[in-house]
Amino acid sequence: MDKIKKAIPYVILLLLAILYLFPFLIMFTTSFKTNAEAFEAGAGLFPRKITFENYRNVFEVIPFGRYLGNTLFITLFNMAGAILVTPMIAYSLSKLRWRGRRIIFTIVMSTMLIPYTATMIPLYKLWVSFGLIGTYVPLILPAFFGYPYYIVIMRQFMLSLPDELFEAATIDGCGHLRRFFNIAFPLSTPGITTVAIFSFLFTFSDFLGPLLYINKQTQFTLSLGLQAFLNEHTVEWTSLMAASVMFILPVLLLFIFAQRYFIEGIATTGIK
Amino acid sequence: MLQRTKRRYRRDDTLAGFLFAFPWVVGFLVFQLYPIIMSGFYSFTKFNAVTAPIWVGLDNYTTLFKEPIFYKSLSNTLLYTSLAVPITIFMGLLVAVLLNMKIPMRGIFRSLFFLPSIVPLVASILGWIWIFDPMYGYLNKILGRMGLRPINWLGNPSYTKLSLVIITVWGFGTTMVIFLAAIQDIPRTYYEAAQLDGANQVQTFWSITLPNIAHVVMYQVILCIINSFQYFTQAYVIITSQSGSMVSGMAGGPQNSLLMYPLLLFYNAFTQLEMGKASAMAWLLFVFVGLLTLLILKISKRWMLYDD
Repeated sequence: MDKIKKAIPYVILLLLAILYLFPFLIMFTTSFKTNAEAFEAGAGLFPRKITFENYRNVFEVIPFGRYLGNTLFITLFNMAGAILVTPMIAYSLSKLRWRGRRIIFTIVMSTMLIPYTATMIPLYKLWVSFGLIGTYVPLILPAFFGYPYYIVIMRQFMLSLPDELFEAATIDGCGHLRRFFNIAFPLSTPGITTVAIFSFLFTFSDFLGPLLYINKQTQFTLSLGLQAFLNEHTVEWTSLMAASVMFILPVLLLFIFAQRYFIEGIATTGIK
Repeated sequence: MLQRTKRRYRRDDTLAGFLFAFPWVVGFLVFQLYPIIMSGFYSFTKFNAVTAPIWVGLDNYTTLFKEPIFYKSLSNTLLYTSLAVPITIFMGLLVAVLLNMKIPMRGIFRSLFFLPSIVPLVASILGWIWIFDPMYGYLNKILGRMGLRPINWLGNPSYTKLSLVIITVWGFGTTMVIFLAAIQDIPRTYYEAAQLDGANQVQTFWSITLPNIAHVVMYQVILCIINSFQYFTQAYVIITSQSGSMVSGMAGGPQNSLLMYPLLLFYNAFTQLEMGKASAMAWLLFVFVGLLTLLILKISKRWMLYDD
């Protein structure tokens, strides 16, 4: 009886896990099927004969390579912006004693949840007036001014660095710049890694941003390119599934190697 | 002597503090404050992003409140929210509590449940559209095996919201991870005391686990509501897969059942070029989310590290 009781949670989790894996499994198996088999009424879950045709199509029919390149370009710049600017701001809001920091942190916290849809029209107009629609600037430049979400993660991390370190450095004659670059920045590597990962994740998957600002197919990101593919052709689901699998792969690999940062990052702020 | 060093240290920091925070101050003014104020202004004008805005007073708001499609988008969003939020929270709590038990392979389970919430949205939505396919989709194949009739998941307006909810609940990972972290923060001694008193699992949950994470749960509820009011990409991609062409204008899925609030806002702004009206919608959304955010800040004051 006791054994059964102990097994119940395990069984529930196992069943749920199968359900949760199911969509991934279907995408994966469909991507190795021929188009004929995918659209066959009685076909099973696994392909009868594995074909790699769909993966070839991904590069020939959908310009996956180009879309991936575009996406990575935008993503790398966003990560650079986040890594450069977030620690600075967080340092000011955690380790420096000044009157503005409380006010600024309150504003950071309150702007964190402003919906993008609420600000997108004036922002769009702003980029129109600078003539930057159809370029990557609107998708990259804001990253160099700090995102509230990353600042909050980074600040929580820096608060945990002992004040004594900074006091000792001050006594040794370190100025603000050296205290930041020689102490705060190197000691914050785990926090910076977390922010970099979130920045990667967000930019790599973003859809609404590219939808607003990119209008030439040659500039499409993966999100935009795959969505447009739905629109333009008689949909070849097997190729589309192969493309989706490849779109997910970089994120999956990153997650496998760095999941500690994902989970800690989310747990510290409590916000998506 | 010590006193003086301290005072000087404090005085020095104001300039440095401001300079280090400067990028964000600029970012806040340009990318947050300015758009919010301007979208308030545009909401009182007729405006198409190219020509200069013309003042029309409250016209945009009165037209909006007269349009059935506005109420349709609102009721779609509310119905979706009232299903998605409670189920996500319930599932998050359930799995978090189960994962907090001493269970073999719980690290793997946690990763697995977390994974759907981080994969690129467009990729997973494409997978779901294929799963929901009325003819060849696996969901209907399974229903068929069980002797049930196929359901047009994304084509029948009575099922579309349910389908969206299923997709959302699949992505409950972040909520679950946050609950799990909160539960793991509860001091072990509480549980030991409960065990000594002979409390069973259910009693322990109600009298120890839940009260100790209540503020986190509240926080997540509000956050999920805010996220529901930003629901865009999933519905947009699903609609693309159906109508074949978005050029037709305000495509909202079968009987507009997929037309969520942000989607209508988007169409008003970028296909109808009624940016004044869209700004009115944006401002209403902003005020709504603003109120919820105030609530969150109140709750998180007790929880986030406000150091000094």
